[in-house]
Amino acid sequence: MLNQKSITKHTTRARVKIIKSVLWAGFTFAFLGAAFIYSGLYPVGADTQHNKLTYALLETVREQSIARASSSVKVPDLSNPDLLLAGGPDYNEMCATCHLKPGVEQSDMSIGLYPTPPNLAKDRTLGLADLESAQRDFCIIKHGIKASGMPAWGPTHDDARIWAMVAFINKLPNLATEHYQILTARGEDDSGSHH
Amino acid sequence: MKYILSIVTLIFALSTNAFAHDPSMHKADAEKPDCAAMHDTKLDASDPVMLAMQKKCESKMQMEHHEEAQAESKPHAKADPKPMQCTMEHEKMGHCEMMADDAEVDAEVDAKSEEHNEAHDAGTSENH
Ligand code: HEC
Repeated sequence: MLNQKSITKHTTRARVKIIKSVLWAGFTFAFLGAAFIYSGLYPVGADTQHNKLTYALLETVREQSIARASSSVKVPDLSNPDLLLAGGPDYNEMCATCHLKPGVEQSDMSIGLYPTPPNLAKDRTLGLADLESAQRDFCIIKHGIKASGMPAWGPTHDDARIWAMVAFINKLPNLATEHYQILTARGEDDSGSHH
Repeated sequence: MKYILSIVTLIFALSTNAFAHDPSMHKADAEKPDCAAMHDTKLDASDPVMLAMQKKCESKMQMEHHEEAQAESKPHAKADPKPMQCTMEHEKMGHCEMMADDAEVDAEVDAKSEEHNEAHDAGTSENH
């Protein structure tokens, strides 16, 4: 017959055993992780792609972060043609090398950067309403995206200028090469670029 | 050595134009809009793209006229609303150069552009 005392002793011993193995597992995991990091085996070169898991993880972090930051952004009226005249030349000079333009399918940047800069002259399938996609674009342009080629333009450009580029990007997939040329030519007149 | 360093720093600090992202920076490689191509399009007349192109091409023509007029008679800097553009586009614009021999106007333009840069800097710190 078992008495009460020996039962308690038994369960306590079992608990200690479990805690010990959890701790060991934790240590082993941390050690292997550190060993991997310091081994230098992880390829950071932009010419090797992430594996699917890493990519999915990073993408989720990115989209959740942008969605959260952009949900409170107030979108101004973007239909004013002046915005296109202000945003066009800026886009052409600051963005087209990476994000391309009508009639240009690749550049050194679009090939060499990873993550690849999306071709903004093509329709993007974001699955967002117009308002949300404007909020998203604004946030991305203003704050950039860490550890990708996408710079933050906010520190050097005011909101009005960023909104003008958002308006321009909205129209960009529908622009013919000639229209793009007219809208983006800085020319002598620069009426649109009040900031 | 310290002296050289401070001079170099000073030069950098004063040459804000080299860092401020003013559209006039790009004036050197300015390209003219090819307005002839505007008309072969299926765009609706009320499309913002069409309106923007019209505006661009219209103001381009106006500018050309304006420059001709300026070449003939030297404008009075304060009366004419157009020279305001010089403050935005600095000395790189053709017709500002034309006025550059007028030292007073030049000084005013510089002062304005300083102001303008400061306003710009202040503007970037709001929200987010
Ligand atoms: C040096 C290259 C580079 C330049 C210059 C650049 N971008 Fe980007 N941009 C990127 C990269 C790379 C990404 C993708 C980042 C990612 O997927 O994490 C990106 C993403 C974006 C996105 C999000 C697109 C989407 O649907 O996911 C927008 C919008 C954008 N950039 C706008 C701009 C604008 C506007 C400019 C100019 C002011 C600009 N970018 C300049 C590299 C660049």
